[in-house]
Amino acid sequence: MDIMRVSIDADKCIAAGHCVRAAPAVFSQNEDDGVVVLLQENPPPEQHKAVRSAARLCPAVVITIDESDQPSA
Amino acid sequence: MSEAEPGTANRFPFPRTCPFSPPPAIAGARAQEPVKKVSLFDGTEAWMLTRYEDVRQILGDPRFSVDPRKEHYPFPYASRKASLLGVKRSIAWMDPPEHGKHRRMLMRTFTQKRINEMAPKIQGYVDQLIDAMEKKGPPTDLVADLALALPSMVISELLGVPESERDFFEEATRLRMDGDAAPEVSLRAALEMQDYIDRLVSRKEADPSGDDLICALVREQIEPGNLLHDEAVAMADLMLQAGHDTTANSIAMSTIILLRNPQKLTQLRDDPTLAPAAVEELLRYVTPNHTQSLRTALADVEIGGQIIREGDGVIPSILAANWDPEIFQNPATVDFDREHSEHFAFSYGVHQCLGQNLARLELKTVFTTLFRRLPELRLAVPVEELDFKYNSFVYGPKAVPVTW
Repeated sequence: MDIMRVSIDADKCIAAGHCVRAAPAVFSQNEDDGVVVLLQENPPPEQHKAVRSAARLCPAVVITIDESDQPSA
Repeated sequence: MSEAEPGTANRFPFPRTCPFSPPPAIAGARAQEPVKKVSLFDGTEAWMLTRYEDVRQILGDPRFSVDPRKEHYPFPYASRKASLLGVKRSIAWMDPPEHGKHRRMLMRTFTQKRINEMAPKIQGYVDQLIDAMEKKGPPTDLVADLALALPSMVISELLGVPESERDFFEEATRLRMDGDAAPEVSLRAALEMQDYIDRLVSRKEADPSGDDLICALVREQIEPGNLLHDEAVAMADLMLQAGHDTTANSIAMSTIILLRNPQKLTQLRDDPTLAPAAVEELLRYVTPNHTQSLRTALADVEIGGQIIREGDGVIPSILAANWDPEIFQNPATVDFDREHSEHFAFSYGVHQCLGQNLARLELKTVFTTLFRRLPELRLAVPVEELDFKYNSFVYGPKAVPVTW
């Protein structure tokens, strides 16, 4: 229950910065090139809303969220 | 108007009837024909899209090009066509993978952390400009004295453009954006501005020791051979234009709108934590790049039940999307509590504004300072007397006389 797996496709990142504004506990930006850095692959439930918002806002569709209850084998 | 100029009834850009609302033709099109053929100044046609979801789909789709050299690229004005095609092409008009290569060279400068570090400096500029307004005494022009001055100072310093060039690049940018200007006038302004930046980049190539962005590009990209001189010129030119004009119009329009909504203004002044939400809502409401985000289809694409053919010009209207009542209920109401605040004022997709978080910081700093410092701020003329840049690529008031 309440498991969220986050993955990113950093090659597509354009550093719009929405993820860092929406969920700074989960996303950061590399200081050398501004590209997204994933801080937590399995953010706790209190972060889920912010992560969903980050994924929706990302204009380059870099963030993928898996909220299926089945842990992957 | 259509009687005086036959054939203009379906011409994009459509006329506004209220300076604070999109042209009525946009709501009409969204209700009746959300993917609609419109005509352009030169008699060619393009598709105009007015629904939020359709606009989002196109702007996120790599099968639509931003390259203005494509045959049916939908230029809104003859002057825009002349000034865009007549100068070096910047990152805003590049498709992937060329676009990503150039954007990556700039991204580190605009990370949220780097922008946050600029907050004290921007606060200092806002205070300094309001000090000067107070010293001069009312009435003053909010555009010249704050809305335009602030972003011009910020982007000049960031790029390493001398402050003394402000009048020059502000006027050149105005002429490049002006849809009413003769094409040769817009083009000449564009060439003069790029020539100036060309010389500036050359000077920085000779001595790249400064701590500004152009010097950093020289050291990190030009010298190792990743970036050509001309590419750096186009890049700096774009940032200088986009860095001041859009933010200036956002500040000026937002201030007028807040003055017309005194309850919202009081709420914002009394609770600065509302500022981020107010910034997003006013960006949505104003959408200063009202004719921005133009595309050409690179393939046949079906959208909203219409087939857009390869080569067709496409206008995914970010202004229309930001006022789509399906997404933003009562779009003409200023509402800081919207559940859905994901507007396209900075466009959407890989070309979304690189400087958006700098713009947000500038707007937030103005909102949290101006109304606190000048609580009696009000328009010095009736709102009906304000004049707006209706036919400019970036929309806003020409001047905003204020008193307090």
